[in-house]
Amino acid sequence: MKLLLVVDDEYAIVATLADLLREEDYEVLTAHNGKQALELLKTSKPVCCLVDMMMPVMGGTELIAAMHADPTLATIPIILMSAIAREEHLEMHKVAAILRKPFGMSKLLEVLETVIGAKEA
Amino acid sequence: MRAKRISSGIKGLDTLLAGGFLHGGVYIFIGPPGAGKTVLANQIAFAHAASGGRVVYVSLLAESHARLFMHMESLDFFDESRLAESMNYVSGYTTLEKEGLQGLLTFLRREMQSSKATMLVLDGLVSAEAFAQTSLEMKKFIHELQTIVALVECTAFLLTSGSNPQLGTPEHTMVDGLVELTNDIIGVRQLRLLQVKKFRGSRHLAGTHCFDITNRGITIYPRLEALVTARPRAAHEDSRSASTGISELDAMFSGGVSRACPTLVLGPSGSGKTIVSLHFLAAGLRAGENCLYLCFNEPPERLLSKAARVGLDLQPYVDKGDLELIWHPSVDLLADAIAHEVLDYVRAHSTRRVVIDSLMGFKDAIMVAERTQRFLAAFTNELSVAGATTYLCEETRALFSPGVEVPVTGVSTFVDNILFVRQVEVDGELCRIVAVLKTRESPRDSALRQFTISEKGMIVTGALHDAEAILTGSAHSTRRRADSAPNLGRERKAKSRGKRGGGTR
Repeated sequence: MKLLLVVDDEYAIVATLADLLREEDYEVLTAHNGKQALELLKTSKPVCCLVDMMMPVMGGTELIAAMHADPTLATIPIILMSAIAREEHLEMHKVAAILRKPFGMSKLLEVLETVIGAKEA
Repeated sequence: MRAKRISSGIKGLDTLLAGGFLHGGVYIFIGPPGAGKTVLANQIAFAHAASGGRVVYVSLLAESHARLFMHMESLDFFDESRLAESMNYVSGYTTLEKEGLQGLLTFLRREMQSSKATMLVLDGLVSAEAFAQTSLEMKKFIHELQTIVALVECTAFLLTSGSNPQLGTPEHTMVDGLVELTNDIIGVRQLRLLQVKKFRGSRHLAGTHCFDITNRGITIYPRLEALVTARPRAAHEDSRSASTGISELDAMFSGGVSRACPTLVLGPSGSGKTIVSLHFLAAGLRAGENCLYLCFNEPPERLLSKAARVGLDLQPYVDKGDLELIWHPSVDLLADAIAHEVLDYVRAHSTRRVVIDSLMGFKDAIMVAERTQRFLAAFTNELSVAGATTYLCEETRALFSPGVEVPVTGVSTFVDNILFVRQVEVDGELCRIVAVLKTRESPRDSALRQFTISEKGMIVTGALHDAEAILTGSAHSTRRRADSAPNLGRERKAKSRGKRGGGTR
């Protein structure tokens, strides 16, 4: 089972995404801010991280920077999901994909398959 | 030391608050769902960010931020480039659920500190309340939040749709201010109202004030009556009278109407009120004065062609910007919004002459009948203070009736002059008459005069001495009786004048 890490401060989004992705046969870890995510990444190696931008304690951009700075995490593809995500963030934050909120499940699965598929290929 | 003010970014709200919220204060916005709390808080937050401030927006079981942004995208104040830069939208619910009110306080403090916030919005206070077992616990939460907010030098807004009835409203007694937003239904119309119920450390305009939500966001219209202070009416620098544009009418007013005074132009439909008003504006325009015509019934093009038909070419003045025609078709209007629009224009352009056509248009837009007289008195007072000489057109109900009935009551108490126009039937012929029923600051000619309207404009001819009951429209000649008893005509005229004096009130 492929492991995903969902990082978002909005309780309902995290809970729902985790449920839906589990039904799609993914294993899902969740974190409510960047700091919690980095803790989880010490012991887990997800195939992809879904990261929100605006979060308390440690926001998405800081988390992404920390992951890029750590050679053990730098290869994990990241999907930036945010209501304020723009195309230029792809290059700016060196992420694999952008998911602009609000998005539907079909769009999420499509992006996820592209990102994970590309990595596996 | 005086506390620093934080502008709300909403002109009308700053007026209500005598300049803005007090820096370091904790304020509650309360109102039912859909009342506009979230738009209000976001508008204030974006204005704060635009002026260099930093905002933390914390949601507790409110709509998701993605949906919030989607809904606000169409509003002018929304600026995506501020997000994640000087404005951080985060959710505090997970912390609240796991760590309760104490954990939420720590969370809020850290967020404010780490983002160097100068403004905090907590959306969904009602969710925090659900974690308070007692009203004391809620009081303690608010008290500690006030302490934190003061220490980190922030101003906080707490949004709530109401309180747990078992706890009461302990937070209302604690906070520095309470702003209530409501949605009233008057007939079938919605009326959005805002009330500053509490504002510690500052005066404020009490009572309810209407507002609307458009693409511009929230616009608040401070209740006009509340704005009027006991300012003396400005003695206008130009002490000369303002010409009515018709020399014979000027003579009836002993030289024109007094500057910065309101004149009621009274008469039934089709009697010539608009023509009288157009002459009044044309006289001002010819003298280089800025003028404004507010109409509810006729669109500007029709008004201009009506003027052209009586020999008044006003289009060049419109093109030059000397004449502003504001047209509001009488549908779902807010009287305060229109009054503020007119007053803002008059103040900005030093407008010297204003025509309001008609008061009935305002009456429908005032919505609360008991306000009508006070509202119109305040409005005309503000126009006078701004130095504008105003004509207020008002339609009497019936074309021909035994009395002169004014639909908007009490108007005669705050106008300085009353000019009456109507068509009367004398011995089988229709003729137009004009009379000056009241002047406050100058003597008047009280004769009834005939006038005509042609392509040359309004021309006032001689006095009408040989008919009685003219003002009521059912005139009849007194010539035959006057021939046999020469003094009778004058006595009857006096009697009829006495009757109309009472009828306008």
